[in-house]
Amino acid sequence: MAKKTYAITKYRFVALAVSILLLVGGVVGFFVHDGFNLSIDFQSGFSQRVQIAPQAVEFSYDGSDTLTLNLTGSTLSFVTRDSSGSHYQEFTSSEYPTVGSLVDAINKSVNGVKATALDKEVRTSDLVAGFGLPLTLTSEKATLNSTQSAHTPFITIDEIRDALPQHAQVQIVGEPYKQTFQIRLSNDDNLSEGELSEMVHSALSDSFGSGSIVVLQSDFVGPKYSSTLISGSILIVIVAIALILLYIWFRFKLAYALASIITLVHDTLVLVGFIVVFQLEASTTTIAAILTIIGYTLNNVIVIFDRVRENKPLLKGYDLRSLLDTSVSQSFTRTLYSSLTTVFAILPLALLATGAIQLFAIEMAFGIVVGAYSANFLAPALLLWITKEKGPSKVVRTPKVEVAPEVVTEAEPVEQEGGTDAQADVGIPTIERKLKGKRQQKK
Amino acid sequence: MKIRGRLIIVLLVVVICGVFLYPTVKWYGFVPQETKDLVTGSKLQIREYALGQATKDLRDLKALVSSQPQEKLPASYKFLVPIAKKNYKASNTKTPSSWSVESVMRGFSSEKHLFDSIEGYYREQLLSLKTLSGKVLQLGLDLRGGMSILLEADVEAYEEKTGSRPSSSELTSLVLDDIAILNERIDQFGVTEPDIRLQGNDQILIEIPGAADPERVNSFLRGKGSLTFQIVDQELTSQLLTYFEEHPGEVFTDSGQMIQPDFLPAGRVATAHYVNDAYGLDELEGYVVIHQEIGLDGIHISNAVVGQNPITGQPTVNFALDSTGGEIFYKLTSTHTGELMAVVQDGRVKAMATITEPIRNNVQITGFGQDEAQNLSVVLKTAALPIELIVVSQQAIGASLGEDAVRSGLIAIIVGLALVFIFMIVIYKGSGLFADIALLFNLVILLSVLSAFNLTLTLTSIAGLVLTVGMAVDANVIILERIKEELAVGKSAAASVKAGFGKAFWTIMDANVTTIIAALVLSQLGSGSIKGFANTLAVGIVSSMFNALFVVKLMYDISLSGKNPQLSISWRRK
Repeated sequence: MAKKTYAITKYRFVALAVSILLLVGGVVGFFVHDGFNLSIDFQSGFSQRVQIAPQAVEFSYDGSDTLTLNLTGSTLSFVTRDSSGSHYQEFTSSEYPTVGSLVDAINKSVNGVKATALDKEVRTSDLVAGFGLPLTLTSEKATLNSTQSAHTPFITIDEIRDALPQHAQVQIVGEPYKQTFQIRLSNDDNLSEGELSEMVHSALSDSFGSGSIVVLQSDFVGPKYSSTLISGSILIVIVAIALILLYIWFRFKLAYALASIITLVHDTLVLVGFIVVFQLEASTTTIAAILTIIGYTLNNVIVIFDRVRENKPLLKGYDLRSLLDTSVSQSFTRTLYSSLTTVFAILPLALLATGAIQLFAIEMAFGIVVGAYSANFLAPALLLWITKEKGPSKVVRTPKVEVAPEVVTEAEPVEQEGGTDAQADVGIPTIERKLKGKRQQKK
Repeated sequence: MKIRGRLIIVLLVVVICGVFLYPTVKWYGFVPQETKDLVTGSKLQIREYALGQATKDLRDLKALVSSQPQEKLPASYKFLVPIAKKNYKASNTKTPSSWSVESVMRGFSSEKHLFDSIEGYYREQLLSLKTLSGKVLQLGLDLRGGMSILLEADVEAYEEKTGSRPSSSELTSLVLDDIAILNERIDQFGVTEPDIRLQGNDQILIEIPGAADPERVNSFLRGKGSLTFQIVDQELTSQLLTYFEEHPGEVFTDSGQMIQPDFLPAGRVATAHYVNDAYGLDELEGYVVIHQEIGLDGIHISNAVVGQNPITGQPTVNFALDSTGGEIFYKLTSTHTGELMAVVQDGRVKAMATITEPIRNNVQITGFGQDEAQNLSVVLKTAALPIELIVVSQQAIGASLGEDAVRSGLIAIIVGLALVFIFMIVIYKGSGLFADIALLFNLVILLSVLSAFNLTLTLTSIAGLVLTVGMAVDANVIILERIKEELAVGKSAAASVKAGFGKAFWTIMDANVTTIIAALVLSQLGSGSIKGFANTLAVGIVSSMFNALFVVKLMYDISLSGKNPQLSISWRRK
C-alpha cells in the first residue's frame, strides 16, 4: 500500500495567509465587541438561573414526627422519622402521571400530610426541584412548582429584562416555553450574595408573582476571587507552555520546539479569537479548553515531527521540503482519524449539554479542527523557515520531488484533501530501518 | 515477556479495578435509598436513630418475652444471638441449643446491657455504611445539587480588632479554629452533613450536598451555639443514676430526647453528659442533674487557651472572662465552693469541674486529656469565630438541574462512545474491535482510579471523560496505521504487528507526555472544577497508553499465536 505524498509545503504561504487572517479576525472581533464576554469567574458578580414556573402542589403537615419531602428526578419521596426509626415512602411519575392522582395517593398514604393540587392536570414529571429541597414539612404551607406545558403563553426574555435592573444580562436557557433564564449581574457596589439574590428575587416577584420564581442555580463570586483567578489562569498557561517547550527541546531539537510552540500559540490565539468573535462566555472552563487544545495540538505536531526525525536518516537524498512533505503525508491518515474520533466524542456534548460544558465542547471541537489544520500545514512550514534561517547551507534546494523506487504493492486510494494537482506518487521509504524503535536523541 | 505473564498482569489490573469499584457498585446498586438518606445525614441523626431503634426494640423484646418466652427469636433480632453466645461463654454458663426469646434475653446481664448491645448494632451498621459512602465515587455538587461556599479569613477586620496582623502560620491556626467551630455546629444543620475543609492557608471550603438553600447556610455560618456554666446538683444526680440503672428503657424518648423523671423538682434538669466518642462526636458519658438557672453565660468569655500545669504536666484549659463576667463568676463560685460546675453546650454537659475557690477573671479547668482540653477550649470559644470570614464565592445548584446534567452527560458519553466504536470498526475491522475493547477497559480503569483516589465526578470531569474517549483511540490509530504500513511492505502479520508497536512506541510517548504536562499543570494550579477535569484527563491518558501499548499488544499476540494467524485490520484486504 503506497501513500500519496502531498506537497504540503507548497502551500506554506497560503497557510501563513490563512493563519494571519484568522488572527486578524480575532483582533477585529476583540475591538468590535469591546473585549471578552467575561463570566463572573473573572469579573466579580452574581449569576442565577431561574425558572418562572407556576405553583402546582401545596403541602402541609400537622403530625408530631419529623417529615422531610424530597423530589429527585420525577420521584417524590417522604421520610418520616418517628418511634419506628425512619419510614420511607415514594411516589413515582410513572405510577401517578398527573398531580391530581399524586395528591390523592399522598393524602391517602402519608400520615398527617395534606396535599392540595392547584392544577390537577399538571404532569408529575414536570415538577421542578429548586432550592430548599429536601424540605422539612410543617403546618405552614410549602409548595412545589412545575414547568408549564408547551402550549401556554409564556413570558419573553424582554419582559424579564424589563423587570430587572438596568445592568442585568439575561439569556434564555433551553426551550423558550420552559421559561428558564440565566441572569447575570456585575457586582459594582460590592453587595453581598444575599443582597444580590434578594434584589433579583424581589424584582422578579414584583412582576411575575412571588410564588412562581424557582431558583435552579446561583453563583456568586467576590472581587478577591476573580482577581486571583485571572493571574492564576495566566500563570497556568505560561507554566504549561514552558514545561512543554522544555520537554520537546529535550526530546527533539530546539528548532522543532520553536516550531511547535509557535504553532500552539497560534492555535491558542485563534481559539481565543473564536471565543471573542462569537462572544462565548469566558470562564474557568475556557482555560481548561485552551489548555486541552494546547496539549492536543502538540500531540498532532509531535506525531508529525517524530516522523520527520525518524525519516531523516532514512531519506538521505531528500531535501528538507520533500522530507517534510513525505512525513506529513505519512502521518496524514492518523491525524485525520484521531481528530475525527475526538470530534465524534465531543460533538454530542456540544449538542446536548448546556452552560459552561456546552461552550467547552464547542470550543474543543473548533480547536481540534484548527489544530488539525495547523499541525499539517503551519507547523511544517514553520519548521522549514526556522531551520533555513539557522543553517541554509545544509538544505539542498531541489524543487523536484525525488521518487523512492521501492516495493509498491497494491495502491490504496487515500481520500484526497485539497491540492490534488500537486501530488507526486512516492512510495513510503521502506529501507529496513536499523533504528528499531530507538530514536536518535538530539545531538 | 511470555504471554501468560502479561495475561496475569492484565488480570491483576482487572482485579484491582474490581476492588476499587466494589464500594461504588455496592453503594449505588445495593443500598436502599432510605438507608442512604439516613447515612448521609449528620452523625447526630444517626445517633438519634440508633437510640430510638434500640428503645423500640427493647420494648418489643420485653413484650415478647412476657407473652411468649419460648417462641423462636424473630429474624430481625438475630443479630443478638452472637452477642448472647459470647456472654454465655464469658459467664461460663452452658450455651442453649436453640435460641428462644427468653434464652437470648438471659444472655444479657441487665436491661442496660441489652439496650447498649442493640444500640451498638444499629450504630455499627450505619457507621460502617457511612464509611462505605466515603469510599464510593462521589457525584460532584453540580451533578447532584447542593451548595459550595468558599470563605476567606477577614484579615483586615481581625487587625482592626486585635491591633496586630496575624502571620501566615497564625492565620492558618485561626482558620483551623474556625473550622473546628463550624464542625461543632454541623449537628445543628439538619438533613445533610456539610463537608468543611481548609483550602490554601486562609480559606475554608464548605460543600453541602443535596440541599441548596442559601438561607439555611447563612444561619449555619452565623451560628447559634450556646455555652453556659451551671451548677451540678450532686445529690439528685446520684438519685437519677440509680433510677436510670433500674429503668434503662426510660432514659430517652423514641426520637432520642432525654426523659425528665418525675422526682426532679422544678429548677433542676436532667442532662446527658457527653464526651467525644465512637460517632466521632459526642458520646453519652453519663447523666447529670444541673440547676436550670444559668450560672454564667459563655458570651462573657473573652479568650480560652490550652495550657499545662507546670508541676503535674497535666493539660489545663485557661479562659479569661470580661469584667462583668468576672463579677458574676466570682459571686457564683463563692456561694458554691466545693460543688461541681458543669460546662453546658447546647443543652449538653460537655465538661465538669470542682470549684476549689472563688474565682474572678482567670479560670483554669483541669482533669482532661490533651484532646479533651483542646476540644474544650474550642467549645469555650465557640461563642464567636476567632477570625471573621467573608464569602469569596458561593455556588448553589438545585437538584433538578444536576439531574439534567447527569442525564445529558450520560447520553453524550454513550453517543460519543458509540460513534467512536462504529468508526473504529468501519475503518479497522477486527483491529478496530480490539481498540474498542481497550477503550471500554480504559473507562473501567478510569472510573476505578477516580473512586480509589476519592475524586468526585463533576460536570467538568464528564467532559474530561468524553475527551479521553476520543483521545484514547489516538494511540491505537497511530499503531494501526504503522502496522498497515508494515503490511504494505510485505511483512508477515506477526512481524508487522511487532514492528508497528515498536515504531509507534516513542511517538505515542512523546505525544501523550505533552498532554499529561498540560493536564498536570491544570490539576496542580487550577481551581476546583478545573481540577476535576485535569485529573480525569491525566488518569485517562495514562490508562489509555497502558491499554494501547500493553493490553492491545497482548490481544494481538494471543490472536496471532495460533496455527493459522489472521490479522484483520481493514475491510479492503483479506
